[in-house]
Amino acid sequence: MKMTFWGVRGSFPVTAPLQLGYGGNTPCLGVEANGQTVIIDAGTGIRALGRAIVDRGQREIDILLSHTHWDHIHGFPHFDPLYRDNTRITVHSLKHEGRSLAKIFREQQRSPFFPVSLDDVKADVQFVEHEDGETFCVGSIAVTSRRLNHPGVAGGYRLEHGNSAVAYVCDADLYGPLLLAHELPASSTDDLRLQELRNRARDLAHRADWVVCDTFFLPDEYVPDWGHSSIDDGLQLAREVDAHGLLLFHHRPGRDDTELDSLQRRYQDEAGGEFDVLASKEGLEISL
Amino acid sequence: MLRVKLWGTRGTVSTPVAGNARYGGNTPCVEVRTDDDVLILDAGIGLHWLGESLLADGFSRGEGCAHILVSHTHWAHIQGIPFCNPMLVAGNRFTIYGRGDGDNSLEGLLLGQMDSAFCPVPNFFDDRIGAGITISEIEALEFDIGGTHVIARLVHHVSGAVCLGYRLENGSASLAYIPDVEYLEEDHRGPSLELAAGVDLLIHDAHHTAAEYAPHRGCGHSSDQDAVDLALGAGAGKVLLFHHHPDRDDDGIDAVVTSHRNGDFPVEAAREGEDYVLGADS
Ligand SMILES: [Zn+2]
Ligand SMILES: [Zn+2]
Ligand SMILES: [Zn+2]
Repeated sequence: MKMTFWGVRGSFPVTAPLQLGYGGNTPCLGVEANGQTVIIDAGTGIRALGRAIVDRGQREIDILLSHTHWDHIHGFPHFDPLYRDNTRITVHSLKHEGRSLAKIFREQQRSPFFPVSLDDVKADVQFVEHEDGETFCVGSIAVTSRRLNHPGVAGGYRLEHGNSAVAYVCDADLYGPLLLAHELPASSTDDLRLQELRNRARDLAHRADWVVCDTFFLPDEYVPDWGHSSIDDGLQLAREVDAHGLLLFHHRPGRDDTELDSLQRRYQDEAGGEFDVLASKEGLEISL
Repeated sequence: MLRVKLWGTRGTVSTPVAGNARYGGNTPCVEVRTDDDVLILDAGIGLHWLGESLLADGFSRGEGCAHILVSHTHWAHIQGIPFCNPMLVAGNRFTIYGRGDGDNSLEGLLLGQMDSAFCPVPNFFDDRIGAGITISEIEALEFDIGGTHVIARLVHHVSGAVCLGYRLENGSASLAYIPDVEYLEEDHRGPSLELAAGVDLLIHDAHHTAAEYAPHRGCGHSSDQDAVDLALGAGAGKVLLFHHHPDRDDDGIDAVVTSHRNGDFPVEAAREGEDYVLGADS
């Protein structure tokens, strides 16, 4: 597998020159195996990736969606393959409880929010919702999705191919309080559910070659309820699951290149050689 | 007097690429200050950064008040609202003006953007959360905000979009803002000519270049030449080419501006961070 970063920024795209070294596009990764690219998330990074996919002539495209917060879907209407004939796009997510994934995407792409309705695009677009814990195949990659601790229905992924495994754990508050509680009144089972969600993140990341992890916060910036982790949380997860590498991801808007450079150094030291630490960067390619 | 500052000049989608950095990659947002009021034209991602600057200015204490005039509800013109942090501060007051599309009110559309399926930010349109926010569906096309006279006109954009252009008048200063417009027939120019008549500064859609325009006819946008023609026809003092195409880089925009240098009409391209003072000498 080869993993390429097309968007690494959380919340909304940033365009200030001092942040463009690491990149300003919202989340999007391409994972290539046997000449097919599987896409993770549809932030604004998907715009450039879409053009690359059209150039390559790939007409069967799978998108693994973590969740439907704006920063993970708002690149989709700008995805070039949508407007191409003989193209099939399948968007995967976890099972939704209320509105379907299809309905949420139709809502994003309709008048008067966007000039081209999803019903009028040329590609054949399908939506598939998976059970928590289900494993399915996308090309030659085995994909498992598990629910994470984040407001709404949010899932992470584990991608396995041959002997290599990558985990995408974003967006998630790994060690914070239960964030799904608003769906149900607080109850004595909350602690249990929280433990379950933490275990699911660990399952995804278990001994992975790389864990791409939501590390939006620094410890002193942490806000409960936002559904994001700190870089220290990311390190804790990598340690607990014996991961080989940690990719800091979903960088906070405003965090500039100099700061990310120094955070990368600092947390590499902190990992003490137990595993690699890299700050995700637009254009970064990692072969596994 | 009107003091104008550009926070977002890019059309359609934010462009975080170094080659666009000089003219800027944030979607539309223009700050207009009078001696007393804060007015904001459109609420693209530029609104996030304008919001951060307002926090340094009374809005962090919940003492701020601002008026946002939205041209239309295509994402690029409203997507900054969830990330406008002064809206999370209780005590601040915002009024958002604009129009829905007939089937949906402006309020319904803006609430749709805050829906928890899409938006992780607390819904500050709820009275109990954050700033006091009033959403005002524009009925009469002329009204006053403090000492500023606002004229709104429906302009032709794409089918399904109810799109407004604005004219702001304060003392002897005047500004017209027409970010998304296409002139498919002569009649379509009427509302823009009215808005821009004799203004000090016209901010106008120039999504396409004249050379590229033909295959995009009917897609709802103008070319640089349309913008200049409209400015000349309306007797505007100066035109700012705005709503840059996401793929037009700084050199490309420079080339467009240079192509107008031989005419004696002042043509500039809107550059994020630039400011203009209108009506200062009267
Ligand atoms: Zn996110
Ligand atoms: Zn999220
Ligand atoms: Zn627009």
